[in-house]
Amino acid sequence: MKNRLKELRARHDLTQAQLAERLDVSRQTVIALEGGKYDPSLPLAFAIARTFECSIEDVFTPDA
Amino acid sequence: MSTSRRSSGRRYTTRFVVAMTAYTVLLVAGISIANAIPESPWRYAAALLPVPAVITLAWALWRYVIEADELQSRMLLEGLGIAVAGTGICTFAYGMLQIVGAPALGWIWVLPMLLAWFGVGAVVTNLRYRS
Repeated sequence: MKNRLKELRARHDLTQAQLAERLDVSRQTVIALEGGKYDPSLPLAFAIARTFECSIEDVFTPDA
Repeated sequence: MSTSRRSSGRRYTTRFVVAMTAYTVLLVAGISIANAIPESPWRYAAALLPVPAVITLAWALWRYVIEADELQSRMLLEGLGIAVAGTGICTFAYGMLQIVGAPALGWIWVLPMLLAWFGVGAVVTNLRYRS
């Protein structure tokens, strides 16, 4: 799954640590998400979308 | 609490290092004391000296399971899977070799082997999810 996490984080002027704090996850998880190494659970995906005030589809798109 | 998950990895590392240090010290002390009093019934108590450190190790792991976020939980599960598989395969293979005459090894080697494979598992999962 592709995502625009890095772009959205930059647009909201957040560091990885700040985003991790808002999402209540480790910075390691934010790094893995941004690098596309890990696809989040649905609750975490909703939390990410809520943080950036957009829908899940605005953040994540399927590979194919 | 929001700081709980963010620093869970650091807390686990601290607990793990403390427990492993205690394990090493108590293992050496326990064996030394037990060997020094070979006829005393207290040698059994001395031999069990490292057990509280092993219990602390298990507690640290349990706390991490509770405090970890979803990626950390997944990495832990994968690491434990590698540890169980590696230890299971090694102990089974050596057990078969023992049946046909290989030197007998004690149960004492099971925990170090499990920890070694857990270390391998941690390296593999860290590489797997590293960007």
